Amino acid sequence: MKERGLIRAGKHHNYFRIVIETSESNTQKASVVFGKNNTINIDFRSAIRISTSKGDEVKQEKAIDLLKGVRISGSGAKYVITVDGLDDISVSKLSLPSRIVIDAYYLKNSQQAQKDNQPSAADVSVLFNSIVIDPGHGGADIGITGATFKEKEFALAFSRDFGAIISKKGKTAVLTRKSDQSLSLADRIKTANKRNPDIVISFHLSSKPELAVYSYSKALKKLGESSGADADKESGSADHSAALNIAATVKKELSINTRHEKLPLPIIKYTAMPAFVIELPSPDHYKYDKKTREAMMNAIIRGLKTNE
Amino acid sequence: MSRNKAFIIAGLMLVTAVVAGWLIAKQFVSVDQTREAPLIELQNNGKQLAIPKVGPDNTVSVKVYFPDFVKLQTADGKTREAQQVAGLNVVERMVKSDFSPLRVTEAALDEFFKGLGKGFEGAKVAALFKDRHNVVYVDMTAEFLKGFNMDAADEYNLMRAFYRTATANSGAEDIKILVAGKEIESFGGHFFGFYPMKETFGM
Repeated sequence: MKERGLIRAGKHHNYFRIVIETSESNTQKASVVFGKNNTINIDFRSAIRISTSKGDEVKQEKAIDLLKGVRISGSGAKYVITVDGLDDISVSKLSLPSRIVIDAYYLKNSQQAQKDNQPSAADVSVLFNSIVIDPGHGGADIGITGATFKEKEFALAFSRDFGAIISKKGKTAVLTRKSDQSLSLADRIKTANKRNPDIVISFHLSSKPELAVYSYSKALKKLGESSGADADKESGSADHSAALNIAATVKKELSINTRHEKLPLPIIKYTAMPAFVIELPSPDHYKYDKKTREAMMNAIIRGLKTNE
Repeated sequence: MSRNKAFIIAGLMLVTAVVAGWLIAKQFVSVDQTREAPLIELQNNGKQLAIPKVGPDNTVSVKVYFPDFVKLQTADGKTREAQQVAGLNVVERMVKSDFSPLRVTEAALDEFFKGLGKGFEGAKVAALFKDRHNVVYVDMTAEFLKGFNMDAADEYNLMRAFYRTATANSGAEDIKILVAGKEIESFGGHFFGFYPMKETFGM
């Protein structure tokens, strides 16, 4: 006999809260992944029957509206929730009663954007499937220091959080270093080339109150194309539009000065895939808290939308 | 009969002497032709360098390049006017040196580090030599690395200025940096230090 679950949803300022009440084991086993095309994919690992608070049973063939802009369909172990303009999700698993709580953040103008037949920010935020994140410096190489920070520590913490956001969207994120360790540039490049991700980003700190994006002569490959060094890398005919777009998006969304420059940095030059070095504004000049860090990370992810 | 014998013996001795002489001569010539050039050249074999201008008290003129984040000042604290070359400021200074290109280069690099100031106070050239490919090796004191508290663009321009200062005064084809006699993986965590500088900083 299939286990049962109850789903309900509520609208908040900039997110929908979706709650699924089910048994403790279903709650713990379930995986919730931010998918493509405004979807949240839930896999309970074993079959379950989900009903709405009105008593309607969720089925595969026809999606049920939970709220305006929020729909669910599915059967067995797998269900899909679609949220118009979905930008990000936050997932919690709680007890008494055991339940999964999904906060689905949405973009307010997404419906108009879809009417205009343009990709929404949520679409472009997941254009790469895998990333190697390189926290700059480490170990004896401290990097820039300020009154309250060391670059090696800041880069590691920021990279970890950035990786967590990417993972939450169902993508693969690998860090070149996970602790305060000395790591040569050659080893960072080896890790990136061995993992062969869609993209590499190395995080550093700027000594100035601005964000800098460095690129070299490689073009962003389109999704679906094979990875590896290609003619663009050698020809120097690469475009730097993705780097420019990261800088422009951060400037627009966070109102801070940004800069793009072409530099032959080894982590960019000798990796076989599109790579960027991003220098974040110094904490001496920019206030980092939970909100601004997340806004910075989301702006960088959205800035990669020129991968089209 | 004995006379013929004597001729034959004399002839054999003559042939033996000629062959032996030829073999010995061949050996010496062969060694001389295959010997490699010495590792360290004692004379400049690089680009044509202009003889530096000579000033009073055994001084000669050197060209020193600085990244634009370095404020150039005159002795009385005013901003020094500088010529711009490839995004770098270049100034001509009179330094105590003889005419040896390597000594002039050492003096120019000392001026470079004096001009950089903060962070590089203890940085000095410990040794300087040139290999047979006209690559100049600059062995820096360990204090050199203490000044690299900067972001990637500043580090790039700093090393470009270093490279230009070193090549302009030595006529070298390329520059390789050592620190305390050893190769280093990276200067400030952004660029390789293992390799000669021209490919990355020679632009």
